[in-house]
Amino acid sequence: MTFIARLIREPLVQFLFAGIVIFAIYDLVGNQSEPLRDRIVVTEGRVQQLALVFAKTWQRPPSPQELRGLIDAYVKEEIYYREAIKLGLDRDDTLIRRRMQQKMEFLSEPSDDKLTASEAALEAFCDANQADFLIEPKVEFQQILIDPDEDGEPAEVRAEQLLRQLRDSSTDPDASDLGDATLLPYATRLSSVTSIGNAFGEDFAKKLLTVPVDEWAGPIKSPFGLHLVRITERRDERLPPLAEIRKAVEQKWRGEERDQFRQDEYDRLRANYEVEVLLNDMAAGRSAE
Amino acid sequence: MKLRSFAMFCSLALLSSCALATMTSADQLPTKEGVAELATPQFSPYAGRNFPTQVFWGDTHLHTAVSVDAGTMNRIGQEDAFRFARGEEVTTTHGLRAKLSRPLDFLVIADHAEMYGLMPQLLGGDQEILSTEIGKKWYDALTAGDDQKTFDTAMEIVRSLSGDEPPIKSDKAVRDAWQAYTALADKYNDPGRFTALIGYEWTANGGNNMHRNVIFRGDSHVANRTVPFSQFDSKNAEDLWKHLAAFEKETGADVLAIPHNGNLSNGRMFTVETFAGKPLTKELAAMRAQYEPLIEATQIKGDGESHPMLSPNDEFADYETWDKSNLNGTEAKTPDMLQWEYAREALKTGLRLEKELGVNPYKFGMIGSTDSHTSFAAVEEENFFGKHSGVEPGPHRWEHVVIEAPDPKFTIRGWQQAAGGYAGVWATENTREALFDAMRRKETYATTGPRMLVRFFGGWDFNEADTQTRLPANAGYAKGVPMGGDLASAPEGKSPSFLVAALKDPYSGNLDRVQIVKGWLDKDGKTQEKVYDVVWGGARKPGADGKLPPVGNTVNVESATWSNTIGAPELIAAWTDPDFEPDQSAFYYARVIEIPTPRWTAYEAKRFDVEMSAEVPMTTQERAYTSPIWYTPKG
Repeated sequence: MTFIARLIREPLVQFLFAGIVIFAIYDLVGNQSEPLRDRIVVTEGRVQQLALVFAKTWQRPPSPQELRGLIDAYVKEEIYYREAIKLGLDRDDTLIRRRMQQKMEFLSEPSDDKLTASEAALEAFCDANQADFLIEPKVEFQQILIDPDEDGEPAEVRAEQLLRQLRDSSTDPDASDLGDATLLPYATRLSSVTSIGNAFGEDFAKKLLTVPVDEWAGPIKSPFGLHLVRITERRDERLPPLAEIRKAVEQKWRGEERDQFRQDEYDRLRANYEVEVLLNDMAAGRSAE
Repeated sequence: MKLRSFAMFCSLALLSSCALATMTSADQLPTKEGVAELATPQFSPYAGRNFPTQVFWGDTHLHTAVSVDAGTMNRIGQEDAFRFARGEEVTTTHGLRAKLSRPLDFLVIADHAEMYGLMPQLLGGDQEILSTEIGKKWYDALTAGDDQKTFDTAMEIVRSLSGDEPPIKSDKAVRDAWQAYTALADKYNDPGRFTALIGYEWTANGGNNMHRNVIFRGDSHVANRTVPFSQFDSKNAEDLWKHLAAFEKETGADVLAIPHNGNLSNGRMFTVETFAGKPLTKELAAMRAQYEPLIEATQIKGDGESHPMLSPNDEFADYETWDKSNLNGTEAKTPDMLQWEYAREALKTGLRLEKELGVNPYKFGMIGSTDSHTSFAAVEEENFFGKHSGVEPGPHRWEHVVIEAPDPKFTIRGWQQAAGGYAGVWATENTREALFDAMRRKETYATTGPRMLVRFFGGWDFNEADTQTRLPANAGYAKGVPMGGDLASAPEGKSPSFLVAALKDPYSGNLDRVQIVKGWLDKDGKTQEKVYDVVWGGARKPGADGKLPPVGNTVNVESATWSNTIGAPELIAAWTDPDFEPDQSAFYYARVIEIPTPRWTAYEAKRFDVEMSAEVPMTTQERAYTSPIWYTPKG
């Protein structure tokens, strides 16, 4: 048998020949020239949406001409968008990345039912965070200043003398004229320890919590000198019952729940990734600073 | 005939200006019948008092991320700024926790009018902003994560604020941001506890600092009837006043403007000319007096009360002085510019102009504020957060650039920032209306940071006995006028006397001394000044040269501590002017000076264990300046 004849009898060669014939026929007979095209379908819903957005700004529906313009603009945007995606333009754009992160973060907002606290949860939260809800101690008092810079006996001595005088007195004297003249107020109405500290200094204010009530006591030191004080009302630090501070507790609780929820969502996503950070010398040096 | 009508005109003008000044305080001052009532002993010393009994502390000049320049480096918005000012703890842009030692009573967030609200919109990726070429360019630069690039872009943005056209113009964006702000201010305004006054900054002639802060008396309903007047609307302050006048006329609202940093205006702030360079007219002088009742005399960018060249005999005149150039270092300062820049000199110039024009355009009271761009009004020496978020606390901020100048010798470095100031306002209560009214009648004083209490009254009958009372304010208001007030037409043979009292800030140093600064127009038509030491702590006596010796210095720089073993915690005195001339107009204001205490740079050096160069000052003598009391001779 000749070489050619043997070749023709090979199944592979027969298949190849059949393929060539099929392609030749298709090429001659099939659709000429039209390359494959992407499809953009502008749905009726989309057109309505475009018209609505227009109407919101212009307070009237678009004219047919304007609507045509809106549709053209939309198509243009869609084409550019698709081409941009094909070219991978979305990949290194900070703006787009941030926007995507923002959208993901919106998705990881807790739903309203997650943010409704049960009674027990609020009580527990209040207990665990007492410092945030405590009402400060408050004091109402009168004070007399003994100025160390005044001539005469040392201030401590004068203070003791005055204190004895006040305590011994059977009547309730008007003490506002005793001691040394000062711009500091004689009487301070019921005020928090912090605001007393703002006027008289922190140490003085703290001391007021330890001094006996309803009698002249002291001397207590302040940046202004020595003071004799008489406390007429003192309220201890207290944690109000939940009913009184419900709103504040809820607000804080919700804030923490939201933060926790978002953190949990992020952790869940994070678990799916293996992160490797390659630090060069410069970056390592900077973080040590 | 001409002379006669001119004389009448002058008297009318003087009278009306006096009336204007006293009108607003008339309901605070007791009437003649009221004085009689006061004299009758009441059981309660507090009954019958309707004058201010409390001083309220605040900042009238704070910037947040909403300001175009601040927003380049700072991510803290207006809400956190309010929360910080009222005493809460917040987190700064760079992740530090911050809290004031004591809450402020009021705050004016005065973001720049120019492209108001741009930065949060830009950084939030607002499409309208980013669709502009320059918007995109700035966005990329600011989010690149490169600190140097961020800083350079920030400087570029700041420079663009002085241009003629806004690089990004969107009226809608500005209106939205402004209305969001006024709504927020209403939300945080808590009458009696914390006042959020509405305001903004008109930032004209950026480099040559002619800036003003505009403050509204009303709420968002009033403020929303306008938008901030920016330097793109006009760079001329006269146009600002016209705009404010038109707004008041149209809406019945009440607004005022407070200029600052005359020290960086290179001779332009307190001149005798109009914006166009012509001699000042009476109408413009009157407008200025009407709309600018206060100036911000001290802030982070330097103290503007006095200058050593203008007051060579005042050993306290050189305090936190910034006098090398204008704001951005594009123009060197020459000595002839100084006289138009500083408060004391301006008050004197005002007396001179009053004689010429019949109106005193520089009849201003004084306050201090921060001008902080970090969103935090934090200027206590041990708690200083810096001018902007490029210089928040850190080991090297003392040497970092704060303001870059084309010529390096004008560049401002971190250590030059002053940790101050605050505004003290004697208002009848802590509400918008009461605070605004107090500012209008100038019953305010400036401090460089500490909250010392200062009372200053002027009259004809103050004496030693008034200093012995427990309530000097009673005597003060009954027998005279408070700071910001006016005295006129001296009674025969009498000189003005003053009652001045100061109580230290319990958190700060003792008081060194109280001075009264007098300025007057002499018989030759020249202005003069003199500083009198009125009362001081310790047993010092003035030397042969008439000068009171310094109080001493207990500061330990290493440990950033001091002790209050010198000076006095409070000072009170009655003082009569020994050099009074009844036919010469004059002003008097009190200056209270503390003993030396550590400057913020000393706290910094200790905290971060750094050594700073020899030129960096480590101690400071904090001070307060009251609004003046003016004396006007018989017309």
